[in-house]
Amino acid sequence: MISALRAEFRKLLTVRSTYFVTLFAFVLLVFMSLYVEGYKNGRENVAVGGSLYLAGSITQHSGILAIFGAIVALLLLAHEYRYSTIMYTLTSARSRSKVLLAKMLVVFSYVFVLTVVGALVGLWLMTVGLHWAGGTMLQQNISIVTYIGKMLFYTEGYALAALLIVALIRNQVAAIVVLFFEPGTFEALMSLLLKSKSVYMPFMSLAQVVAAPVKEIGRNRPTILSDTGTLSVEKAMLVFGIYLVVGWTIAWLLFLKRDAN
Amino acid sequence: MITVQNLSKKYKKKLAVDDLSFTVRTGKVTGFLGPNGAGKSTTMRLMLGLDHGAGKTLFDELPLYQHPQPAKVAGILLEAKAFHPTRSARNHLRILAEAGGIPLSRVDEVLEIVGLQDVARKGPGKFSLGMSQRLGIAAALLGEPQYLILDEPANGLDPEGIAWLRQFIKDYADKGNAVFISSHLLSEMAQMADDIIVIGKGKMIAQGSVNEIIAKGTGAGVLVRSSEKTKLKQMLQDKRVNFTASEGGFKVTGMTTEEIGMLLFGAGLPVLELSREEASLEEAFLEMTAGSEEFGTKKEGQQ
Repeated sequence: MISALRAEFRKLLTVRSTYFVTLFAFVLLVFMSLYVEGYKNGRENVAVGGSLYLAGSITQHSGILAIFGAIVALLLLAHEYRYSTIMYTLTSARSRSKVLLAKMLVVFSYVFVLTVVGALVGLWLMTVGLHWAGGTMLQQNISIVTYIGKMLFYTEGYALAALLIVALIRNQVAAIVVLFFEPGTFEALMSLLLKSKSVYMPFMSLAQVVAAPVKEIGRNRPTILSDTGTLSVEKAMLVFGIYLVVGWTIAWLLFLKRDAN
Repeated sequence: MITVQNLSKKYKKKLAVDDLSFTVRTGKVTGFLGPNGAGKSTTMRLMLGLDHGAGKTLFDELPLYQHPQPAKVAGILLEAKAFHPTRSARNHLRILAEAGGIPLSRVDEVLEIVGLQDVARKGPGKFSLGMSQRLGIAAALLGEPQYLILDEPANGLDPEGIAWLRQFIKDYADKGNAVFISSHLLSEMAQMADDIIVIGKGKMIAQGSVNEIIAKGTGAGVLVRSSEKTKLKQMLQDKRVNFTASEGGFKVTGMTTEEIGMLLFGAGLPVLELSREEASLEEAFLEMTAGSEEFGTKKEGQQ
Protein backbone atom coordinates (compact mmCIF):
# COMPACT_ATOMS: atom_id res chain seq x y z
CA MET A 1 0.00 0.00 0.00
CA ILE A 2 2.85 2.36 0.86
CA SER A 3 4.43 1.62 -2.54
CA ALA A 4 1.17 2.39 -4.31
CA LEU A 5 0.77 5.63 -2.35
CA ARG A 6 4.30 6.77 -3.13
CA ALA A 7 3.80 6.00 -6.81
CA GLU A 8 0.49 7.85 -6.93
CA PHE A 9 1.96 10.91 -5.22
CA ARG A 10 4.80 10.89 -7.71
CA LYS A 11 2.31 10.63 -10.59
CA LEU A 12 0.45 13.65 -9.25
CA LEU A 13 3.56 15.73 -8.77
CA THR A 14 5.38 14.91 -12.01
CA VAL A 15 2.88 16.19 -14.55
CA ARG A 16 2.63 19.83 -15.56
CA SER A 17 -1.17 19.82 -15.52
CA THR A 18 -1.20 19.54 -11.71
CA TYR A 19 0.80 22.76 -11.41
CA PHE A 20 -1.03 24.63 -14.18
CA VAL A 21 -4.46 23.78 -12.81
CA THR A 22 -3.45 24.62 -9.23
CA LEU A 23 -1.89 27.88 -10.34
CA PHE A 24 -4.99 28.82 -12.29
CA ALA A 25 -7.18 28.06 -9.27
CA PHE A 26 -5.09 30.39 -7.13
CA VAL A 27 -5.05 33.16 -9.72
CA LEU A 28 -8.85 33.03 -9.81
CA LEU A 29 -9.01 32.84 -6.02
CA VAL A 30 -6.78 35.88 -5.67
CA PHE A 31 -8.94 37.84 -8.11
CA MET A 32 -12.19 36.86 -6.42
CA SER A 33 -11.10 37.30 -2.82
CA LEU A 34 -8.75 40.26 -3.07
CA TYR A 35 -10.55 42.28 -5.73
CA VAL A 36 -14.23 41.26 -5.93
CA GLU A 37 -15.02 40.24 -2.32
CA GLY A 38 -12.47 42.51 -0.69
CA TYR A 39 -11.72 45.69 -2.59
CA LYS A 40 -14.78 46.03 -4.87
CA ASN A 41 -17.42 45.05 -2.34
CA GLY A 42 -15.59 47.07 0.31
CA ARG A 43 -15.74 50.21 -1.80
CA GLU A 44 -19.36 49.69 -2.76
CA ASN A 45 -20.11 48.64 0.80
CA VAL A 46 -22.08 45.64 -0.48
CA ALA A 47 -23.27 43.73 2.55
CA VAL A 48 -19.87 43.91 4.20
CA GLY A 49 -21.64 45.04 7.30
CA GLY A 50 -23.55 41.73 7.60
CA SER A 51 -22.53 39.15 10.16
CA LEU A 52 -22.70 36.36 7.54
CA TYR A 53 -20.55 37.98 4.90
CA LEU A 54 -17.80 35.48 5.52
CA ALA A 55 -20.22 32.55 5.39
CA GLY A 56 -21.33 33.76 1.97
CA SER A 57 -17.81 33.80 0.65
CA ILE A 58 -17.54 30.06 1.31
CA THR A 59 -19.67 29.43 -1.75
CA GLN A 60 -17.38 31.49 -3.95
CA HIS A 61 -14.12 30.03 -2.69
CA SER A 62 -15.44 26.47 -2.55
CA GLY A 63 -16.62 26.65 -6.12
CA ILE A 64 -13.23 27.74 -7.42
CA LEU A 65 -11.20 25.26 -5.39
CA ALA A 66 -13.61 22.38 -5.99
CA ILE A 67 -13.70 22.57 -9.76
CA PHE A 68 -9.93 22.82 -10.15
CA GLY A 69 -9.29 20.19 -7.50
CA ALA A 70 -11.74 17.93 -9.33
CA ILE A 71 -9.89 18.42 -12.62
CA VAL A 72 -6.60 17.37 -11.04
CA ALA A 73 -8.31 14.36 -9.45
CA LEU A 74 -9.89 13.41 -12.75
CA LEU A 75 -6.60 13.62 -14.64
CA LEU A 76 -4.80 11.42 -12.12
CA LEU A 77 -6.86 8.43 -13.24
CA ALA A 78 -7.84 9.54 -16.75
CA HIS A 79 -4.16 9.82 -17.80
CA GLU A 80 -3.68 6.17 -16.87
CA TYR A 81 -6.26 5.09 -19.41
CA ARG A 82 -5.34 7.68 -22.01
CA TYR A 83 -1.66 6.77 -22.01
CA SER A 84 -2.11 3.05 -21.19
CA THR A 85 0.04 3.28 -18.05
CA ILE A 86 -2.79 1.50 -16.23
CA MET A 87 -1.21 -1.82 -17.32
CA TYR A 88 1.96 -1.00 -15.39
CA THR A 89 -0.04 0.20 -12.40
CA LEU A 90 -2.10 -2.99 -12.25
CA THR A 91 0.68 -5.48 -12.91
CA SER A 92 2.87 -3.90 -10.21
CA ALA A 93 0.18 -4.19 -7.58
CA ARG A 94 -1.03 -7.26 -5.75
CA SER A 95 -4.52 -5.85 -5.43
CA ARG A 96 -6.59 -3.61 -7.65
CA SER A 97 -8.48 -2.39 -4.59
CA LYS A 98 -5.27 -0.99 -3.15
CA VAL A 99 -4.57 0.86 -6.39
CA LEU A 100 -7.97 2.50 -6.26
CA LEU A 101 -7.65 3.27 -2.55
CA ALA A 102 -4.21 4.80 -3.08
CA LYS A 103 -5.62 7.08 -5.78
CA MET A 104 -8.47 8.15 -3.51
CA LEU A 105 -6.09 8.91 -0.65
CA VAL A 106 -3.77 10.90 -2.88
CA VAL A 107 -6.67 12.90 -4.29
CA PHE A 108 -7.98 13.44 -0.76
CA SER A 109 -4.58 14.67 0.45
CA TYR A 110 -4.05 16.98 -2.51
CA VAL A 111 -7.52 18.52 -2.23
CA PHE A 112 -7.11 18.83 1.56
CA VAL A 113 -3.95 20.91 1.16
CA LEU A 114 -5.44 22.88 -1.75
CA THR A 115 -8.57 23.70 0.25
CA VAL A 116 -6.93 24.60 3.57
CA VAL A 117 -4.30 26.75 1.90
CA GLY A 118 -6.87 28.20 -0.51
CA ALA A 119 -9.35 28.97 2.29
CA LEU A 120 -6.75 30.70 4.44
CA VAL A 121 -5.21 32.60 1.54
CA GLY A 122 -8.66 33.60 0.28
CA LEU A 123 -9.73 34.78 3.72
CA TRP A 124 -6.57 36.76 4.24
CA LEU A 125 -6.73 38.37 0.79
CA MET A 126 -10.37 39.29 1.31
CA THR A 127 -9.42 41.07 4.53
CA VAL A 128 -6.53 42.80 2.78
CA GLY A 129 -8.90 43.90 0.00
CA LEU A 130 -11.41 45.25 2.51
CA HIS A 131 -8.74 47.27 4.33
CA TRP A 132 -7.45 48.49 0.99
CA ALA A 133 -10.93 49.79 0.14
CA GLY A 134 -11.26 51.30 3.60
CA GLY A 135 -14.09 48.96 4.65
CA THR A 136 -14.40 46.93 7.81
CA MET A 137 -16.05 43.63 8.52
CA LEU A 138 -18.35 43.13 11.48
CA GLN A 139 -17.99 40.27 13.93
CA GLN A 140 -18.77 37.20 11.79
CA ASN A 141 -21.32 34.58 12.68
CA ILE A 142 -19.18 31.63 11.61
CA SER A 143 -16.07 30.03 13.06
CA ILE A 144 -12.98 29.44 10.99
CA VAL A 145 -13.25 25.70 11.67
CA THR A 146 -16.79 25.58 10.29
CA TYR A 147 -15.68 27.75 7.37
CA ILE A 148 -12.87 25.44 6.38
CA GLY A 149 -14.79 22.29 7.36
CA LYS A 150 -17.65 23.02 4.98
CA MET A 151 -15.27 23.93 2.21
CA LEU A 152 -13.36 20.72 2.77
CA PHE A 153 -16.49 18.59 2.50
CA TYR A 154 -17.48 20.38 -0.68
CA THR A 155 -14.09 20.24 -2.41
CA GLU A 156 -13.32 16.67 -1.31
CA GLY A 157 -16.80 15.59 -2.39
CA TYR A 158 -16.40 17.21 -5.77
CA ALA A 159 -12.94 15.67 -6.31
CA LEU A 160 -14.06 12.18 -5.28
CA ALA A 161 -17.07 12.53 -7.57
CA ALA A 162 -14.74 13.49 -10.44
CA LEU A 163 -12.53 10.48 -9.72
CA LEU A 164 -15.63 8.31 -9.60
CA ILE A 165 -16.75 9.57 -13.02
CA VAL A 166 -13.40 8.55 -14.57
CA ALA A 167 -13.41 5.21 -12.78
CA LEU A 168 -16.77 4.49 -14.40
CA ILE A 169 -16.19 6.01 -17.85
CA ARG A 170 -12.41 5.44 -18.26
CA ASN A 171 -12.15 8.12 -20.92
CA GLN A 172 -10.61 11.51 -20.26
CA VAL A 173 -12.65 13.64 -22.66
CA ALA A 174 -15.96 11.98 -21.81
CA ALA A 175 -15.23 12.28 -18.07
CA ILE A 176 -14.50 16.02 -18.34
CA VAL A 177 -17.70 16.51 -20.35
CA VAL A 178 -19.74 14.64 -17.72
CA LEU A 179 -18.05 16.53 -14.87
CA PHE A 180 -19.22 19.83 -16.31
CA PHE A 181 -22.46 18.69 -17.95
CA GLU A 182 -23.92 16.80 -15.00
CA PRO A 183 -24.05 19.62 -12.43
CA GLY A 184 -24.15 22.53 -14.87
CA THR A 185 -26.69 21.36 -17.41
CA PHE A 186 -28.32 18.08 -16.45
CA GLU A 187 -29.11 18.96 -12.86
CA ALA A 188 -30.10 22.48 -13.83
CA LEU A 189 -32.61 21.12 -16.35
CA MET A 190 -33.81 18.46 -13.95
CA SER A 191 -34.44 21.11 -11.32
CA LEU A 192 -37.13 22.57 -13.59
CA LEU A 193 -38.88 19.23 -13.33
CA LEU A 194 -38.14 18.33 -9.74
CA LYS A 195 -38.56 21.84 -8.37
CA SER A 196 -37.87 21.86 -4.59
CA LYS A 197 -36.90 18.17 -4.65
CA SER A 198 -33.98 19.00 -6.92
CA VAL A 199 -31.80 19.52 -3.82
CA TYR A 200 -31.66 15.73 -3.58
CA MET A 201 -29.67 15.47 -6.81
CA PRO A 202 -25.95 14.72 -6.30
CA PHE A 203 -24.25 18.03 -7.00
CA MET A 204 -27.14 20.15 -5.80
CA SER A 205 -27.13 18.38 -2.46
CA LEU A 206 -23.39 18.95 -2.29
CA ALA A 207 -23.91 22.62 -3.05
CA GLN A 208 -26.31 22.82 -0.13
CA VAL A 209 -23.43 22.06 2.24
CA VAL A 210 -21.80 25.38 1.49
CA ALA A 211 -24.98 27.27 0.67
CA ALA A 212 -26.99 26.19 3.69
CA PRO A 213 -27.25 29.56 5.43
CA VAL A 214 -28.41 31.17 2.23
CA LYS A 215 -31.84 32.23 3.53
CA GLU A 216 -30.30 33.99 6.46
CA ILE A 217 -27.78 35.73 4.30
CA GLY A 218 -30.50 36.47 1.81
CA ARG A 219 -31.65 39.43 3.82
CA ASN A 220 -28.35 41.13 3.24
CA ARG A 221 -27.07 39.50 0.08
CA PRO A 222 -29.90 38.74 -2.30
CA THR A 223 -27.43 38.02 -5.08
CA ILE A 224 -26.61 34.61 -3.62
CA LEU A 225 -30.16 33.58 -2.88
CA SER A 226 -30.98 30.10 -4.08
CA ASP A 227 -34.45 29.02 -5.15
CA THR A 228 -33.64 25.32 -5.34
CA GLY A 229 -34.84 24.67 -1.82
CA THR A 230 -32.78 24.06 1.28
CA LEU A 231 -31.39 21.17 3.20
CA SER A 232 -29.62 21.36 6.53
CA VAL A 233 -25.87 20.94 6.26
CA GLU A 234 -26.06 17.54 7.92
CA LYS A 235 -28.83 16.33 5.63
CA ALA A 236 -27.04 17.65 2.56
CA MET A 237 -23.87 15.82 3.61
CA LEU A 238 -25.85 12.63 4.15
CA VAL A 239 -27.58 12.80 0.77
CA PHE A 240 -24.34 13.44 -1.13
CA GLY A 241 -22.53 10.87 1.01
CA ILE A 242 -25.04 8.21 -0.03
CA TYR A 243 -24.51 9.02 -3.70
CA LEU A 244 -20.76 8.81 -3.23
CA VAL A 245 -20.82 5.50 -1.34
CA VAL A 246 -23.18 3.85 -3.81
CA GLY A 247 -21.25 5.24 -6.79
CA TRP A 248 -17.90 4.15 -5.43
CA THR A 249 -19.18 0.67 -4.59
CA ILE A 250 -20.22 0.23 -8.22
CA ALA A 251 -16.96 1.76 -9.50
CA TRP A 252 -14.88 -0.47 -7.23
CA LEU A 253 -16.68 -3.65 -8.35
CA LEU A 254 -16.24 -2.65 -12.00
CA PHE A 255 -12.58 -1.81 -11.42
CA LEU A 256 -12.04 -5.36 -10.13
CA LYS A 257 -14.02 -7.07 -12.86
CA ARG A 258 -13.30 -5.12 -16.02
CA ASP A 259 -10.41 -5.56 -18.42
CA ALA A 260 -7.72 -2.94 -17.95
CA ASN A 261 -8.13 -0.83 -21.06
CA MET B 1 8.52 -21.62 -15.61
CA ILE B 2 5.33 -19.96 -16.80
CA THR B 3 2.47 -22.40 -17.13
CA VAL B 4 -0.48 -21.29 -19.19
CA GLN B 5 -3.55 -23.45 -18.73
CA ASN B 6 -6.67 -23.36 -20.89
CA LEU B 7 -6.75 -19.62 -21.48
CA SER B 8 -9.89 -18.42 -23.23
CA LYS B 9 -11.33 -15.01 -23.86
CA LYS B 10 -14.55 -14.05 -25.59
CA TYR B 11 -15.47 -10.57 -26.82
CA LYS B 12 -19.23 -10.59 -27.28
CA LYS B 13 -19.64 -13.39 -29.80
CA LYS B 14 -16.05 -13.59 -30.96
CA LEU B 15 -13.67 -16.06 -29.34
CA ALA B 16 -10.37 -14.15 -29.26
CA VAL B 17 -8.41 -16.81 -27.37
CA ASP B 18 -9.54 -20.40 -27.50
CA ASP B 19 -8.34 -22.84 -24.86
CA LEU B 20 -4.62 -22.08 -25.12
CA SER B 21 -2.19 -24.08 -23.02
CA PHE B 22 1.60 -23.95 -23.16
CA THR B 23 4.68 -23.48 -21.04
CA VAL B 24 7.47 -20.94 -21.18
CA ARG B 25 10.67 -22.54 -19.95
CA THR B 26 13.25 -20.79 -17.83
CA GLY B 27 16.59 -20.27 -19.51
CA LYS B 28 14.89 -20.14 -22.90
CA VAL B 29 13.53 -17.55 -25.29
CA THR B 30 10.03 -18.48 -26.39
CA GLY B 31 8.74 -16.82 -29.53
CA PHE B 32 5.03 -16.20 -29.81
CA LEU B 33 3.87 -16.02 -33.41
CA GLY B 34 0.61 -15.48 -35.16
CA PRO B 35 -0.95 -13.30 -37.85
CA ASN B 36 -2.47 -9.93 -36.97
CA GLY B 37 -5.57 -10.44 -34.85
CA ALA B 38 -4.54 -13.97 -33.89
CA GLY B 39 -4.91 -13.15 -30.19
CA LYS B 40 -1.24 -12.74 -29.18
CA SER B 41 -1.66 -9.48 -27.28
CA THR B 42 -4.89 -10.66 -25.68
CA THR B 43 -3.13 -13.84 -24.55
CA MET B 44 -0.34 -11.80 -22.98
CA ARG B 45 -2.84 -9.56 -21.21
CA LEU B 46 -4.71 -12.60 -19.93
CA MET B 47 -1.46 -14.10 -18.66
CA LEU B 48 -0.74 -10.93 -16.69
CA GLY B 49 -4.26 -10.63 -15.30
CA LEU B 50 -4.92 -7.37 -17.13
CA ASP B 51 -7.86 -8.94 -18.95
CA HIS B 52 -10.26 -11.40 -17.42
CA GLY B 53 -11.12 -14.69 -19.06
CA ALA B 54 -11.18 -18.42 -18.47
CA GLY B 55 -8.09 -20.44 -17.53
CA LYS B 56 -5.07 -19.48 -15.49
CA THR B 57 -1.41 -18.58 -15.78
CA LEU B 58 1.09 -19.57 -13.13
CA PHE B 59 4.47 -17.95 -12.68
CA ASP B 60 6.35 -20.54 -10.63
CA GLU B 61 3.15 -22.13 -9.36
CA LEU B 62 1.46 -18.83 -8.49
CA PRO B 63 -0.60 -16.27 -10.40
CA LEU B 64 1.38 -13.09 -10.86
CA TYR B 65 -0.62 -10.98 -8.40
CA GLN B 66 -0.07 -13.53 -5.61
CA HIS B 67 3.69 -12.97 -5.63
CA PRO B 68 4.86 -10.54 -2.92
CA GLN B 69 6.39 -8.22 -5.52
CA PRO B 70 4.93 -8.89 -8.98
CA ALA B 71 7.27 -6.37 -10.62
CA LYS B 72 10.23 -8.54 -9.62
CA VAL B 73 8.61 -11.61 -11.17
CA ALA B 74 7.47 -10.35 -14.56
CA GLY B 75 8.67 -7.38 -16.58
CA ILE B 76 6.28 -6.35 -19.30
CA LEU B 77 6.27 -4.42 -22.54
CA LEU B 78 2.86 -4.51 -24.17
CA GLU B 79 2.71 -1.10 -25.83
CA ALA B 80 5.58 1.04 -27.04
CA LYS B 81 3.97 4.36 -26.15
CA ALA B 82 2.62 3.57 -22.70
CA PHE B 83 3.81 6.70 -20.92
CA HIS B 84 2.68 10.23 -20.17
CA PRO B 85 4.17 12.36 -22.97
CA THR B 86 5.37 15.26 -20.82
CA ARG B 87 6.50 13.36 -17.75
CA SER B 88 10.24 12.77 -18.10
CA ALA B 89 11.47 9.29 -18.95
CA ARG B 90 13.28 9.21 -15.61
CA ASN B 91 10.17 10.14 -13.65
CA HIS B 92 8.14 7.60 -15.61
CA LEU B 93 10.53 4.87 -14.52
CA ARG B 94 10.72 6.23 -10.97
CA ILE B 95 6.95 5.88 -10.67
CA LEU B 96 7.13 2.29 -11.86
CA ALA B 97 9.99 1.63 -9.44
CA GLU B 98 8.00 3.10 -6.53
CA ALA B 99 4.94 1.05 -7.46
CA GLY B 100 6.95 -2.14 -7.71
CA GLY B 101 8.96 -1.63 -4.52
CA ILE B 102 12.20 -1.34 -6.51
CA PRO B 103 15.06 0.93 -5.36
CA LEU B 104 15.15 4.21 -7.32
CA SER B 105 18.85 3.69 -8.03
CA ARG B 106 17.79 0.98 -10.48
CA VAL B 107 16.21 3.62 -12.72
CA ASP B 108 19.53 5.08 -13.85
CA GLU B 109 20.91 1.57 -14.36
CA VAL B 110 18.16 0.55 -16.78
CA LEU B 111 18.34 3.88 -18.59
CA GLU B 112 22.00 3.17 -19.21
CA ILE B 113 21.30 -0.40 -20.31
CA VAL B 114 18.90 0.78 -23.02
CA GLY B 115 21.02 3.80 -23.93
CA LEU B 116 18.56 6.53 -22.95
CA GLN B 117 20.61 8.19 -20.20
CA ASP B 118 21.14 11.34 -22.29
CA VAL B 119 17.41 11.94 -22.78
CA ALA B 120 16.32 10.78 -19.34
CA ARG B 121 15.07 14.20 -18.30
CA LYS B 122 13.06 14.76 -21.47
CA GLY B 123 9.40 14.02 -21.95
CA PRO B 124 9.05 10.93 -24.12
CA GLY B 125 6.19 12.42 -26.13
CA LYS B 126 8.62 13.37 -28.87
CA PHE B 127 10.63 10.15 -28.73
CA SER B 128 10.83 8.13 -31.93
CA LEU B 129 9.17 4.72 -31.94
CA GLY B 130 12.56 3.10 -31.41
CA MET B 131 13.35 5.30 -28.40
CA SER B 132 9.89 4.61 -27.01
CA GLN B 133 10.54 0.89 -27.35
CA ARG B 134 13.80 1.30 -25.47
CA LEU B 135 11.97 3.10 -22.68
CA GLY B 136 9.44 0.27 -22.60
CA ILE B 137 12.24 -2.27 -22.40
CA ALA B 138 13.81 -0.24 -19.56
CA ALA B 139 10.50 -0.38 -17.73
CA ALA B 140 10.35 -4.15 -18.20
CA LEU B 141 13.86 -4.57 -16.82
CA LEU B 142 13.35 -2.41 -13.73
CA GLY B 143 12.67 -5.21 -11.28
CA GLU B 144 15.32 -7.54 -12.75
CA PRO B 145 12.43 -9.96 -13.25
CA GLN B 146 12.76 -13.65 -13.86
CA TYR B 147 10.23 -13.40 -16.68
CA LEU B 148 10.13 -10.91 -19.50
CA ILE B 149 6.92 -10.64 -21.49
CA LEU B 150 7.49 -8.51 -24.56
CA ASP B 151 4.94 -7.73 -27.26
CA GLU B 152 6.64 -6.68 -30.51
CA PRO B 153 9.68 -5.12 -28.79
CA ALA B 154 11.64 -4.80 -32.04
CA ASN B 155 9.04 -2.57 -33.74
CA GLY B 156 10.65 0.71 -34.73
CA LEU B 157 14.16 -0.26 -33.65
CA ASP B 158 16.97 0.50 -36.06
CA PRO B 159 19.24 -2.37 -37.22
CA GLU B 160 21.71 -1.64 -34.44
CA GLY B 161 18.86 -1.64 -31.95
CA ILE B 162 17.51 -4.94 -33.24
CA ALA B 163 20.95 -6.55 -33.04
CA TRP B 164 21.34 -5.19 -29.49
CA LEU B 165 17.89 -6.48 -28.51
CA ARG B 166 18.58 -9.92 -29.98
CA GLN B 167 21.82 -10.31 -28.03
CA PHE B 168 20.36 -8.80 -24.89
CA ILE B 169 17.40 -11.17 -24.87
CA LYS B 170 19.58 -14.22 -25.50
CA ASP B 171 21.92 -13.17 -22.69
CA TYR B 172 18.98 -12.50 -20.38
CA ALA B 173 17.61 -15.99 -20.95
CA ASP B 174 21.06 -17.53 -20.56
CA LYS B 175 21.17 -16.15 -17.03
CA GLY B 176 18.35 -18.52 -16.11
CA ASN B 177 15.46 -16.21 -16.91
CA ALA B 178 12.62 -16.79 -19.35
CA VAL B 179 11.69 -14.47 -22.19
CA PHE B 180 8.29 -14.69 -23.87
CA ILE B 181 8.34 -12.52 -26.95
CA SER B 182 6.00 -11.87 -29.82
CA SER B 183 7.26 -10.49 -33.09
CA HIS B 184 6.51 -10.36 -36.79
CA LEU B 185 10.22 -10.28 -37.60
CA LEU B 186 10.44 -13.99 -38.26
CA SER B 187 14.08 -14.03 -39.32
CA GLU B 188 14.94 -12.36 -36.02
CA MET B 189 12.80 -14.82 -34.16
CA ALA B 190 14.55 -17.73 -35.86
CA GLN B 191 17.88 -16.41 -34.57
CA MET B 192 16.66 -15.45 -31.14
CA ALA B 193 14.14 -18.03 -29.99
CA ASP B 194 14.65 -21.52 -28.64
CA ASP B 195 10.98 -22.45 -28.59
CA ILE B 196 8.16 -21.26 -30.79
CA ILE B 197 4.42 -21.10 -30.22
CA VAL B 198 2.22 -20.40 -33.24
CA ILE B 199 -1.40 -19.40 -32.87
CA GLY B 200 -4.08 -18.43 -35.36
CA LYS B 201 -7.59 -17.14 -34.64
CA GLY B 202 -6.90 -17.65 -30.94
CA LYS B 203 -6.13 -21.34 -31.31
CA MET B 204 -2.87 -23.22 -30.91
CA ILE B 205 -1.43 -24.17 -34.30
CA ALA B 206 1.99 -25.47 -33.36
CA GLN B 207 4.54 -25.43 -30.58
CA GLY B 208 8.01 -26.81 -30.34
CA SER B 209 11.64 -25.91 -30.87
CA VAL B 210 12.53 -23.67 -33.81
CA ASN B 211 13.85 -26.68 -35.76
CA GLU B 212 10.72 -28.69 -35.07
CA ILE B 213 8.53 -25.85 -36.29
CA ILE B 214 10.61 -25.37 -39.44
CA ALA B 215 10.49 -29.10 -40.11
CA LYS B 216 6.69 -28.93 -40.09
CA GLY B 217 6.82 -26.68 -43.13
CA THR B 218 7.43 -27.97 -46.63
CA GLY B 219 9.89 -25.27 -47.57
CA ALA B 220 12.96 -27.54 -47.55
CA GLY B 221 13.90 -29.41 -50.72
CA VAL B 222 16.30 -29.76 -53.61
CA LEU B 223 16.13 -27.44 -56.59
CA VAL B 224 16.96 -29.13 -59.85
CA ARG B 225 17.17 -27.52 -63.29
CA SER B 226 17.98 -29.09 -66.61
CA SER B 227 18.05 -27.92 -70.22
CA GLU B 228 15.77 -30.93 -70.90
CA LYS B 229 12.91 -29.76 -68.70
CA THR B 230 10.21 -31.98 -70.21
CA LYS B 231 12.35 -35.11 -69.93
CA LEU B 232 13.28 -34.16 -66.36
CA LYS B 233 9.62 -33.81 -65.41
CA GLN B 234 8.79 -37.15 -67.02
CA MET B 235 11.65 -38.82 -65.18
CA LEU B 236 10.52 -37.41 -61.81
CA GLN B 237 6.97 -38.58 -62.45
CA ASP B 238 8.18 -42.04 -63.46
CA LYS B 239 10.22 -42.34 -60.27
CA ARG B 240 7.18 -41.18 -58.21
CA VAL B 241 9.15 -38.34 -56.67
CA ASN B 242 7.40 -35.46 -54.84
CA PHE B 243 8.12 -32.26 -56.69
CA THR B 244 6.72 -28.86 -57.57
CA ALA B 245 7.60 -26.38 -60.31
CA SER B 246 10.02 -23.78 -59.00
CA GLU B 247 12.30 -21.09 -60.41
CA GLY B 248 12.56 -22.53 -63.94
CA GLY B 249 13.07 -26.05 -62.60
CA PHE B 250 11.57 -28.34 -59.99
CA LYS B 251 11.73 -28.45 -56.22
CA VAL B 252 12.02 -32.02 -55.03
CA THR B 253 11.14 -32.97 -51.48
CA GLY B 254 11.87 -36.14 -49.56
CA MET B 255 15.18 -36.87 -51.28
CA THR B 256 18.78 -35.84 -50.75
CA THR B 257 20.89 -33.95 -53.27
CA GLU B 258 23.01 -37.06 -53.80
CA GLU B 259 20.00 -39.28 -54.53
CA ILE B 260 18.65 -36.86 -57.14
CA GLY B 261 22.10 -36.44 -58.65
CA MET B 262 22.39 -40.18 -59.15
CA LEU B 263 18.92 -40.31 -60.76
CA LEU B 264 19.85 -37.54 -63.20
CA PHE B 265 23.12 -39.24 -64.00
CA GLY B 266 21.33 -42.54 -64.58
CA ALA B 267 18.82 -40.85 -66.92
CA GLY B 268 21.61 -39.05 -68.78
CA LEU B 269 20.07 -35.62 -68.32
CA PRO B 270 22.19 -32.47 -68.43
CA VAL B 271 22.17 -30.63 -65.11
CA LEU B 272 22.11 -26.84 -64.93
CA GLU B 273 21.51 -26.61 -61.19
CA LEU B 274 21.27 -29.01 -58.28
CA SER B 275 21.08 -27.26 -54.93
CA ARG B 276 19.73 -27.78 -51.45
CA GLU B 277 17.10 -25.21 -50.37
CA GLU B 278 16.71 -24.78 -46.63
CA ALA B 279 13.31 -24.09 -45.20
CA SER B 280 12.80 -20.93 -43.19
CA LEU B 281 10.69 -20.14 -40.18
CA GLU B 282 8.84 -17.66 -42.35
CA GLU B 283 7.85 -20.31 -44.90
CA ALA B 284 6.79 -22.70 -42.17
CA PHE B 285 4.85 -19.92 -40.45
CA LEU B 286 3.06 -18.88 -43.63
CA GLU B 287 2.12 -22.44 -44.40
CA MET B 288 0.84 -23.07 -40.90
CA THR B 289 -1.19 -19.92 -40.63
CA ALA B 290 -2.61 -19.97 -44.15
CA GLY B 291 -6.34 -19.45 -43.78
CA SER B 292 -6.14 -18.30 -40.20
CA GLU B 293 -5.33 -14.67 -40.92
CA GLU B 294 -7.84 -12.30 -39.44
CA PHE B 295 -6.94 -9.55 -41.88
CA GLY B 296 -5.49 -11.45 -44.85
CA THR B 297 -4.68 -9.57 -48.04
CA LYS B 298 -6.25 -10.57 -51.33
CA LYS B 299 -3.90 -12.59 -53.55
CA GLU B 300 -3.42 -11.57 -57.16
CA GLY B 301 -6.21 -12.95 -59.31
CA GLN B 302 -8.24 -13.86 -56.24
CA GLN B 303 -11.92 -12.85 -56.37
